[in-house]
Amino acid sequence: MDNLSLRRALYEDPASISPQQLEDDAQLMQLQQELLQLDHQLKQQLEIDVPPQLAEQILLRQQMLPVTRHWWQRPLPYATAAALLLSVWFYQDSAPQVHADLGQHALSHVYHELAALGAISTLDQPSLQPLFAELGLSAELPVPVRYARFCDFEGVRSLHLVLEVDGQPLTVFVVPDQHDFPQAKTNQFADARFFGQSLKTARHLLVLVAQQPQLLTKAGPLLAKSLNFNI
Amino acid sequence: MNSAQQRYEALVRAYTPDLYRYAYWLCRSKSIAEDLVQDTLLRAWKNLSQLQEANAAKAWLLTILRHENARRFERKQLDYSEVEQDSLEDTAHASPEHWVATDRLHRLMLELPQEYREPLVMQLLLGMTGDEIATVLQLNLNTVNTRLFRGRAQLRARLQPDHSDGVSQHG
Repeated sequence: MDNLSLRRALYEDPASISPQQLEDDAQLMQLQQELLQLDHQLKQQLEIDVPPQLAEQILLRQQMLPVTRHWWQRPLPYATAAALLLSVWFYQDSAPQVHADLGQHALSHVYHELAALGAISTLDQPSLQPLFAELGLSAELPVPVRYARFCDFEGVRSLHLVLEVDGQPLTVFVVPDQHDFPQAKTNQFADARFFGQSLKTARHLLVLVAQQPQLLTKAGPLLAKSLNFNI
Repeated sequence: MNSAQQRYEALVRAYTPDLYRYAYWLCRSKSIAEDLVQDTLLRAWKNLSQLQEANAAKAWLLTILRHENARRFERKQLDYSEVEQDSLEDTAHASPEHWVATDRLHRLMLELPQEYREPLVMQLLLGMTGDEIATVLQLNLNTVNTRLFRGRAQLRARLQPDHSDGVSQHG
């Protein structure tokens, strides 16, 4: 291997060349030492700290995913579903329109405004009250509010909030129940990243989304206590 | 616990640290890196049957992670008509983590173009060979070697601005 090839090989991987190959060239030996030292320093930089419990969190999330099986492994439920679908198709013209998937809409909305989860300033209560008042609410939230904005939630003017609960962001959509949102059989939803829950009150629908399921459990009662619905 | 679950748990415990570090150097954000690793491993669970050999696990997971990273930019944007733009969002404090990186080499590595940074991370952090890197990045070996060469040359040049050893950047 000539000098130029050796030099190039050293830059590609300094550990790939044995010192014996370089013993006739002091400059190349010096270059190898410098590049090995650089690699050593780079390795130290590359090994950043990993968040504790990251693997455990991933395993927990995976275990909460619904079990998915191929359709041919359960033909009977699929046949039933197909029959049901046909029935729905026949009668859908006369049936009132309902929401296909409230949870999916909430998750899409969160993804659409992911930057809101990173907001770090705390909004003061006086600036929030007019927003709540527009929806017929008053509220004294005992946790910091990081983001508040009116948005279009399935055609309904709603309030999109991001609260900080236990140091983590929790998204809350306060949706006036003008369209009589149906209460799903299960009011919980999730995808690979977020967990969600909808709570129906007398006049509003609250849709909560967070990355940690325990936040939803904690926030439900907290919001119920804090939000007052003006008559 | 069934065998698929056991296999998956072993995979998660063995590769989460490397995936997280690789993701950080790919996207240059610790919070996004955490999300990327979670999305990657959940997708791996859904497609676990595709992984036939344990030896292929690292390359398989890195490929998924790179796809997940690409999906970040392609995620379908639904048409949300903001009824009224009376936003109270705070944007003044948004600051990528590389802006505050204090260590010079760390910062130089973050500033290195991704096409040079990525193969270096694979080689130095993950101990991958040129052929393995070429497979994951879907490049030929010569291109990978050229990128490794240029990556190291750029870092060395920036660390020693006055140093000149005749190394061409066009190798």
